[in-house]
Amino acid sequence: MPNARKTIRLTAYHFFQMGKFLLPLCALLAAGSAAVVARIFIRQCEQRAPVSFQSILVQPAFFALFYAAYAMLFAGLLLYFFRYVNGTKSVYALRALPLGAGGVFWSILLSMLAAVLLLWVVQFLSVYAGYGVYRLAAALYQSPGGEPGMSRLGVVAALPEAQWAPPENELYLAFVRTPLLQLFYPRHPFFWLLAAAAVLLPVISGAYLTISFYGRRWGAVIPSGVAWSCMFVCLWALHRVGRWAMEDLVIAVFALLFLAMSMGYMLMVAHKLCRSSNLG
Amino acid sequence: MKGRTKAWLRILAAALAVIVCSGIGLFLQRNREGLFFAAQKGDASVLERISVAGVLGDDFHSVSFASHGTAFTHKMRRQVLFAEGPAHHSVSYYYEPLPGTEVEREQSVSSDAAVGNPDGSFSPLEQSVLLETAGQFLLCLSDTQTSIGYYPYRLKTQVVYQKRLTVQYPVLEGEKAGVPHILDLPAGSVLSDAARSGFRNIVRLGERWYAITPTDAFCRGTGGIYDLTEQLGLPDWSDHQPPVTERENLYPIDLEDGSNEIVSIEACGELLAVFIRSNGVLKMHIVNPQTWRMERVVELPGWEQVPTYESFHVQGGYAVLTGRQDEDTLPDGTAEQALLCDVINLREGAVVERVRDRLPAPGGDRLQTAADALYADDTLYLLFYAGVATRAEEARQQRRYPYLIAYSGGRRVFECAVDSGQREDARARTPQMRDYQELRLQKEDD
Repeated sequence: MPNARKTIRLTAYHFFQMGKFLLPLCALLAAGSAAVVARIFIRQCEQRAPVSFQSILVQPAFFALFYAAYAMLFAGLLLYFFRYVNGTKSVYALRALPLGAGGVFWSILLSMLAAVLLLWVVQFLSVYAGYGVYRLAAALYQSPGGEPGMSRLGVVAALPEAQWAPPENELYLAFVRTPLLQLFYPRHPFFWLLAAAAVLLPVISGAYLTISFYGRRWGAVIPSGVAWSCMFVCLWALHRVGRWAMEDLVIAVFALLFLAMSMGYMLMVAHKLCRSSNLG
Repeated sequence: MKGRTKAWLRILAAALAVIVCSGIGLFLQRNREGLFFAAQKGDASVLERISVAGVLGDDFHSVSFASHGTAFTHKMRRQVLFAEGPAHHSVSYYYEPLPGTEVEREQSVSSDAAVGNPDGSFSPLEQSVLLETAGQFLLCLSDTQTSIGYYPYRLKTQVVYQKRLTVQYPVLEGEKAGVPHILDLPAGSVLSDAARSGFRNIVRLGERWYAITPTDAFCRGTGGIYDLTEQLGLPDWSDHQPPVTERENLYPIDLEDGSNEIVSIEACGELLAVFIRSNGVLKMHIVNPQTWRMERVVELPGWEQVPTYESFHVQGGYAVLTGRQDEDTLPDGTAEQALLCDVINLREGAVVERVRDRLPAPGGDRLQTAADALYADDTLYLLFYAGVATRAEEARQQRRYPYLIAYSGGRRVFECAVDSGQREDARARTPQMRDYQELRLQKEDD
């Protein structure tokens, strides 16, 4: 049996094992996003103030949801794999497969990547789900025959105007004009790189920390901390598009460069440590 | 185990498909801004002969648009991280008592300054000042003064300000320091803070920057045009007061004891237009910068009651000068305004069309500065910014939009607004209001 196929099988195993916390996390995120949109929309209606979908997306609740899910996933990945490399009953059978250290390493990396990618897609789709709620509510508030201020669902809300249709390209505008959402629809090389880094950083730093901690190398938190700090600087840069001074641009570019270098270093060291360990 | 691998691969494929399909769906929405000519009044056929173009955007996203007849096309522009604006310079005056003039000096204490308290309030701060009173002041062209009182450069002019004035200088350790302040300056003086920002007193022609010496009724001597290209290349911060330098006055203008007031300078293609008010009458001198000779002078009657014009646009051999004049006072206390507009044929040096009209107020909004003007086929097109009448709203929520007016034979024949999704930004309080920029009018066959 080729080693690659075994690696893929182990990766799939990890992914579904992680699914025990990953899937509820994704479901919670999507439901939370839709709930936040609906709540803000109805509250604005009650205040007789029209609100655009873009205004809803810049609410702190939306940002908190996104970053909390991101952090929870990273913590979950670390915990799962730390338990795995330290040995549990359920994985002894898999560990016994003649896989080699490289196979174990790639299975960790690929399953983490799949988990982050899944969360990324759910984050992306939760915006769509929120927009669906917004669009539906906006349609209900202007349904023919409906009393102003009273939707057919019975939600009491005062309408500022009878006709209240979001513009045709509102979802597109929400993506391109909301700082955080530029990670999901990047239109500039800087944001393409940043989006790639946002997907890869939890994966690489997660694998690196897991394998380093397995060998009791606690100093691994330093390169990982540097990389995450650079990521936060780049995320700060997300909010300053078009309003940058030259020094802001230099800081952001250097942060991205350091981030890439840190990730490269962590990937290299993790691979080396894994080979010299008894994980395989 | 095999089934699990297949399921994992399917999930991955579905995730990638979602990302790709959604990206395509969003990309297809990029050019659906819904631009249209709204509230059309009059003969819309004039739209067939011109194109209204510009950019609608904010820091994150912008589209460029252009009209073709009554329809619009638009295109998403590349996102930029670092938006650098066009080079801009202003010119103001550095002044000092004319050498040889008697100067009265007096030490005093001023309580004009204030110091901030931790609770946000301000307490008056007594400051030692030096008061210098003189009857004649030497004027030097310069850029805006730094906070410690130094100028980037000082270029001596042949203009003298002849009025008894008292200048207050802050004093620090026995020396003059900081920004001086004139105590008894007449309203509208070229030395005032309002004039300091510079109303069209510097212009770029090719790679060179030319500045005029703006003057008022108290100015004496000879005004003119100076080449400031080298001075503008100097660093705008200095730790010492630079020496006063001299340059050739390229186009000397005799001020005739203050009866000639130099108002502004404009670029007219490869020529320069210098506006001079002679005994109250506005005149436009068309000057060739190759020879520094006046080629034509155009007299512009009707601008006597207007302090200055608002906009000047040149296109297709015609210059369009617009301004406004207060007329009746409206119930809300604001003044109803009349539009003044002269179209000048630059080749003949003559006014070919003159418009005097009451400015419309579309939907209660006010017309602001003219963004562009075009005279073509005996029709004058003026493209204004229109905006909310009140200033109560936050600046970023103030919507302004293009408003086009066409005149033929001095009569208004057509008017309309350009509308788009920007209206939704204002109505639904989108975090950042998009703005129209780089508005321009072009002949459709250009």
